[in-house]
Amino acid sequence: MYTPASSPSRTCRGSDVEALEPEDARQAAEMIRAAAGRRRLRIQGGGSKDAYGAPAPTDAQRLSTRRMVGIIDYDPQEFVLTAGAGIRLADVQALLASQGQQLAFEPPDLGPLFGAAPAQSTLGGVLAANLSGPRRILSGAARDHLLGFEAVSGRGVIFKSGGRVVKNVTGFDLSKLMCGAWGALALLTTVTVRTVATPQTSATLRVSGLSDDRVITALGAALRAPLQVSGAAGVSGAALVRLEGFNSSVEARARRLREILQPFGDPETLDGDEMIWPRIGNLQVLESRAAALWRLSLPPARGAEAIEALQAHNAERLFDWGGGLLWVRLAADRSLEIRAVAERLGGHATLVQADAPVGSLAFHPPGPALTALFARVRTAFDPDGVFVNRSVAA
Amino acid sequence: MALKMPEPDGDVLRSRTLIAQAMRTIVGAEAVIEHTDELIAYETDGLTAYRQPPLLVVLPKSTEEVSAILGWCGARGVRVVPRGAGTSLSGGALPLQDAVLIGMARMNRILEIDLANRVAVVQPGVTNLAVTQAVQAHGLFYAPDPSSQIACTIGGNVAENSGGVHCLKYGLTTHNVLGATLVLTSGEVVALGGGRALDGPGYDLLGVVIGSEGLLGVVTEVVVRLTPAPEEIRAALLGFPNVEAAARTVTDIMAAGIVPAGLEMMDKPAIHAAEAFVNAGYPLDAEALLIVELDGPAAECDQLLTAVCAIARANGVTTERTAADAPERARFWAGRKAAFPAVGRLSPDYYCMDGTIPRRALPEVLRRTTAMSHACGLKVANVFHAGDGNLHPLILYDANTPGDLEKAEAFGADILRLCVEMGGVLTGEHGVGVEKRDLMPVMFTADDLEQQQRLKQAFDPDLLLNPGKVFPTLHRCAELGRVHVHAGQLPFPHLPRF
Repeated sequence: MYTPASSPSRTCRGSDVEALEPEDARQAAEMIRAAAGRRRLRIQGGGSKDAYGAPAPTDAQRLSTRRMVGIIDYDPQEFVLTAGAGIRLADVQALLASQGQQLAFEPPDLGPLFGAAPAQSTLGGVLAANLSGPRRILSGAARDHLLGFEAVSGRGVIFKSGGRVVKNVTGFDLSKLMCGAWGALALLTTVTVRTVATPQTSATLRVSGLSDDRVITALGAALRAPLQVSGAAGVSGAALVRLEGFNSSVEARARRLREILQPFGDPETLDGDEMIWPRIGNLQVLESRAAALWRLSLPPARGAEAIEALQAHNAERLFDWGGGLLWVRLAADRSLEIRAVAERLGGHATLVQADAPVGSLAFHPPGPALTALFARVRTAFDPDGVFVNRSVAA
Repeated sequence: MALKMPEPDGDVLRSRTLIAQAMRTIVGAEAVIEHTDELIAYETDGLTAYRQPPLLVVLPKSTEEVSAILGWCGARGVRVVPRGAGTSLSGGALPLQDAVLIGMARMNRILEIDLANRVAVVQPGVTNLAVTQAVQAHGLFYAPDPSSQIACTIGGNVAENSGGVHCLKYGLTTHNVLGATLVLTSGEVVALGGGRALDGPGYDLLGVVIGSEGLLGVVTEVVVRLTPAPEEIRAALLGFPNVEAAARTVTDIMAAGIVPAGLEMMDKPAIHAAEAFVNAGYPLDAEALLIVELDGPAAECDQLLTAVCAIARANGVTTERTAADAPERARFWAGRKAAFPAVGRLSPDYYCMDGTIPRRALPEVLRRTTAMSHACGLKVANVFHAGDGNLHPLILYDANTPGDLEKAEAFGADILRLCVEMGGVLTGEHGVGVEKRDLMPVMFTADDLEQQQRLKQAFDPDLLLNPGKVFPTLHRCAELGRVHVHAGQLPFPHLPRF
């Protein structure tokens, strides 16, 4: 596997220049203006996703958020937290947990997948990558929880968007654009996220010994029912469905879920299910590193068809989001075929982990009109291409 | 009140006949409206203070026609204003004298209901309520439910990122739309978002287009998420001796981890107006009233309703009622849903504001609003989507009293400035449109607005789409638009507004 040098902070190979570590947006703006036209900058949080998409080595200078880590405001009663983008996600989660709260989008920690230490991710990093865990099907993605931010554009100009309240239609919703842009548009310096109360309890039912097709059908049946399903995954021929909430509610819904799953096999209640879902979100259930790792985003009902079309019955794989997210280990050089299958089924494919750097080829190329629009959007934020563009094959 | 819009392009005005001919070639003669008498029907939207008949109206039936219209206009520098049902409360669909108005009303088909993927594929002219009606037999619904849902369209909901009473639990339009087909002013057609998948490749342009008020492109197809309808719905009506106690109850409910399906507040003037109008059985001695709606399995509703009432008692509730059945629950809501017209009966005119504040700021905002009300001599009634901090102060005035209108405008602007000062925002759900565009600098710096405008130009380089909306125009002093209501007559009087 292509894994960068052992320490995340030294992954920027080929660069002898010291990393830039601004303390705030004003300093960052000066640094970005100074770099413009002279060198490129690669935005980095904790470095846990440096190898995501097997990017090509770059001589760009590292622009780190590691000194922008303060909690600026956290009022648990408002369910809103504002912090420096470089704050460790683990620190945020610990603070929220102390108040009985959490981030609803269940951000996964993919660092260990790439050989990095666990718990290195930053809040800004998971937002910029729009990384969301199993609960996304109920509670939305990272992008749905970024209420507002302050950032510095590639022009070196500080700007903000959104606010600190949930209901807000004042101006364009640039928060959505920042999530999933992988730092290609702007450096997030301060972010405001929505928090939620941690559910009182959770229960997971599992039906084992199913074909992929039956797994997807079972998950779909659960998701069609008024059960507020907060996890729907397929692991090794088993369908796993999670319910969360108040005790009385989870009990009632679990009874109903059992009836719905019964036609697929005897559902068993999983003990210690709170340990299982992080393993699904963090991809720890994929144990081998036998081949490159692909991420297919699909219409959920078509998850099993993708395996069929790719003749991937023996490949290691994981379904999440009721089948709408398929992680599968298949050779990197099958990319044309994999992309064609994903498109035919109404989705797209990302090469997440590979033996050798693949650069922007990791990301699914959009059609020509969209590619041109992406390029213009990028120019609107970073006309000179100061920031390394990792994610968009444009 | 004069509203400064971009200068009409004389060449375009003079070419009207030619433009109409080109449009007829694209959509057919019967789908082009150019008669002055008929254009009047399109001269305004839900913000009736401003009126301007469009250059002409085009009613396309397909993505291809929209693409041809925009491509033709884009190549010739002709401005275009998109319009759904025209229920915008912020003037988002206000025509321009030199702009072609694209009415999406004929693109009103539900193209597919995909139960396996729990989505519906709809054209933008489909009404919000029609989506739910089409899927409710399958135990599903489309969650965003703006109060105008019988008339407003999905395309308009996408433009405004519409919410509704239940968005506290089920999210806004942006959380319930998976994909959209967008036509640019170049005529190019792009598919945004994941379609039936949860995400698409590249930048999340779908997220930006939702809530962009028709400034980036024209949406011609939308994939909406369908949600299983809850098993059970319950409601409680809670009266309090002061606003602080009601506000504390809201905070305590949320802090207990309860996410109600709806959580609404009314102050005393609003309670009295509503009760006089619909006899909902509201307590007239209460200074503040809460309606709490819970949904889910019966066991959950029972447990949470008990918890909510216990929280209310701890905060000194003076009236506590839970609905025994659906008709009683409907009565609880009747007063709240009639609050706007009820207030309209108290005064010849009223002016509806729409700010959002952090919940903790509610008592202070209401206190200072009351003080401002006394200072300027105009009464105000408050209704409030309390769960998500979205405040609708209704300022009472009489347009026939000299100076009253100006006082009301100044009062409204002060309330919105107060919302921003308290950490809130200018608009929670009505949109900026022409109404609040000139207040944008209260919330945003010149750099913030410039970045937004650069993004606009990535989609629409010649600024042809819906000009004069959202962004303040240069060289003007602040001027507020308004939801003017005269003689209790809301625009579209048959539409509920709450």
